[in-house]
Amino acid sequence: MTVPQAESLRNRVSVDSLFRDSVSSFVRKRATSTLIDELEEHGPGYDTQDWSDLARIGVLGLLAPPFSAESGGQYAAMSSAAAILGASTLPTPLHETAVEAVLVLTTATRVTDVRTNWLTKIAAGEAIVVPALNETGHEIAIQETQVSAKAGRGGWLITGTKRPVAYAQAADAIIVVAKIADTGERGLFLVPGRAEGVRVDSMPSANGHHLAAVTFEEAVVDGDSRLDGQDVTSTMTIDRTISVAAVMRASQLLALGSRALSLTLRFAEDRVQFGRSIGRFQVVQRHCADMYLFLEKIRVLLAQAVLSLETGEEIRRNSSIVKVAASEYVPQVLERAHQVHGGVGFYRDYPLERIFRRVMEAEAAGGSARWHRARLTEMLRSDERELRRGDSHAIAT
Amino acid sequence: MDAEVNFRKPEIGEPTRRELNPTVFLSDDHLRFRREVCDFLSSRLTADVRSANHDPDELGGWRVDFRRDFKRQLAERGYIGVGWPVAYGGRGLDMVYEVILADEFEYHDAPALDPSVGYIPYALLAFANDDLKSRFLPALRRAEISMFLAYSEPEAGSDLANLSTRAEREGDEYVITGQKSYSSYSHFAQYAFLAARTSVSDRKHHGITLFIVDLAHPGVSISRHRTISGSYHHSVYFDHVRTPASMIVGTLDEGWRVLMGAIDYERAAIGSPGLVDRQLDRLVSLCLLNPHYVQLGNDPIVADRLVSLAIEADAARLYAYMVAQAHANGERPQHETSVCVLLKREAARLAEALAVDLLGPEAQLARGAESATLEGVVDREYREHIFFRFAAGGFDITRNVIATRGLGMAR
Repeated sequence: MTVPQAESLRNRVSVDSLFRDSVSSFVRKRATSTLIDELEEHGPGYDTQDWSDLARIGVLGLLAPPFSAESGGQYAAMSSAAAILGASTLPTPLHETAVEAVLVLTTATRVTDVRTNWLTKIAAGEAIVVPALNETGHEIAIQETQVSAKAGRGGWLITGTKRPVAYAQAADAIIVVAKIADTGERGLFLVPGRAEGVRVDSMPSANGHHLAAVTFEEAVVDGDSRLDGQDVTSTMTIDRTISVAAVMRASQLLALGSRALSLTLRFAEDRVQFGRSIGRFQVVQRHCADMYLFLEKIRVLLAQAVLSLETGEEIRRNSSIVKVAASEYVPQVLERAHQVHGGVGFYRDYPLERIFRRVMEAEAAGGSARWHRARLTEMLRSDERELRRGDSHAIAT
Repeated sequence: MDAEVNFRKPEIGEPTRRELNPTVFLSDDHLRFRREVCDFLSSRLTADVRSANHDPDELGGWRVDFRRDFKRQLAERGYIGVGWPVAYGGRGLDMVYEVILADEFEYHDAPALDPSVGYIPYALLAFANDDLKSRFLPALRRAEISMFLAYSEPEAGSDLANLSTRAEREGDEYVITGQKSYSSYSHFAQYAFLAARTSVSDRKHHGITLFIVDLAHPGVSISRHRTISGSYHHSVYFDHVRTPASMIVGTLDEGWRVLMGAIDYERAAIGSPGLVDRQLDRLVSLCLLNPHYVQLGNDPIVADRLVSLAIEADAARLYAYMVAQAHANGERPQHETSVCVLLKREAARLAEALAVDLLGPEAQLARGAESATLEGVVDREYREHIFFRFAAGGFDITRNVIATRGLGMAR
């Protein structure tokens, strides 16, 4: 918040209206209930034409240099896109590929042509790359990983299982953390989706069929596909990736929650019981006020986090704070929305249930509230100044 | 970042809510001002000064004479009226400066900026005629006089339009009779900023008029009540108090507008976030730096609860500055000022409850007790700030305001 050069930063976070309009009009055209139902019912869970359209609008390359704008503003733009697409509930691998995979590829320390090639393809909408970070019992497993990598066949042989992995069926490449056999360090590897020894088993989920268990049985990866080779660099890459992913997921969650509130306000006005609109009942008004309060808190915290991404300051703190808030508050917004809607919200012919299911996915993606709370408590305990705002005052003791 | 709004509009036939730009920027000048105020308060309000001027009978705990002297010092330094127009002796700075000032005052637990240097002048600037403005604004700015807000009555709390204090015209004067209750700062004020009924109307909000009433007039009396925190709070009685008709603020019978306008300023002013930041900092210091309490700092459950508080503190602070920034840009935030107060006060109650829990049996030790941890401040704030739930709107009424004024729901 305490940032100099206010004017240039103000311009940086104000998203170009042409860009926003393009994403909005794409969504209005494509995010129909019929299409969304179809995508949920059948693999790979997204529409390839949609993906090309998003590339053409410029969404997919936002965070991928050299496509990202030199003047900055790419995080604000991606946040805006994540909000518009998020509210629409149209399923796409936006977060997995255009945010998380791009962040891993741009942050990882080992510079190889492999990275540049994949980034170019992602930006052009020609490749789906997804991170596979979860393992049973471990969200974002780094130290805890049970997946191993050993040298062999001129590169690396990866063995183990990652699950759940979103959009793995469609993935041209999968990014995994694995423990390197001879050093004991955790490395980051980019495994071609159709490499020998890779098996993808679809897993039905609340949001359709886009999740899978990915099993590697001595999957062969060439030497250039190792992105990081040490605990410290792998951890930093994932940490940075999750920070950005968290902010984009918070954007999605805020948009979903806002839409739930809008639906609820309209429903409360239209629905008549006991001879009057239920929106006239004070208890319903209170639910709506609470929903609004939750959303307003997230809105200012999100703006703070986006500004952090743009300036590079306090990224870990502010991204974790907004993700905790979004992951904890938006489900409470949805609880109240369903309370007001009653049975209407239970059926699939009304949009609220789909919003509810997307929230369920987004609250865990990009780090759950628990994961980010753990990061924040560790920050607090390792440096007592990090969480508080004493820097702008004399510290109270 | 306002993209979600754009998406929402075409799909939903709701009344469109405009949203304030949530990205908060403080300029270098703002930061310099903050530093200056912070240095001033740090140097003046030392531990010795605090204990020498503590008065348990006073809400906030400061002796009245110290409060008065301190306010004069503020006036000399130009800290009163920073946002008023230069023509009325102000500095003509934007609302962000006012919030920075209030923020630092709260952070340093300084004597509160009372309404006569906060929202009453803003109400005068917006609604009073030139005579009243030039008569009262300079005196308020120099801290020569103070006013209290005479709105609430025994039968008019959340339903303020139900007030029964009457003002009846007799020649060039009005004769005021009635009782005002919960009258903060009244015991050292020279004037009341008073709402009275001047006519009875079918429209409930019509017929209310705002007056400035000189408390030296015959017929004014005051009583005091001991409160939950041990301090005193006051009721003020007006028994046929004669006030010149020239003391009407705004238009006769149209006082509701003044009142509502003033309430928006009031809520913006008391929504300043410094209190919560101070409470968070204090607890972090206690748990991580105080040798008697380091076991708390090592407890992951405690750390997690501090994280929860930090999130609420961030939201309250950002919201307050967002609203201030909107004011500075010439917008007129309305229900957002209510949100601002609510976020700050709910966060403060969270902090206060957490402090009581962390201190355990020590939490109830009052200032003056031998080696009371944090000089009894946890006890004072926990008891005193129960008024956050109901004063100046309160948690429930504020939600009503948000639902009706903010979300457009029907009454």
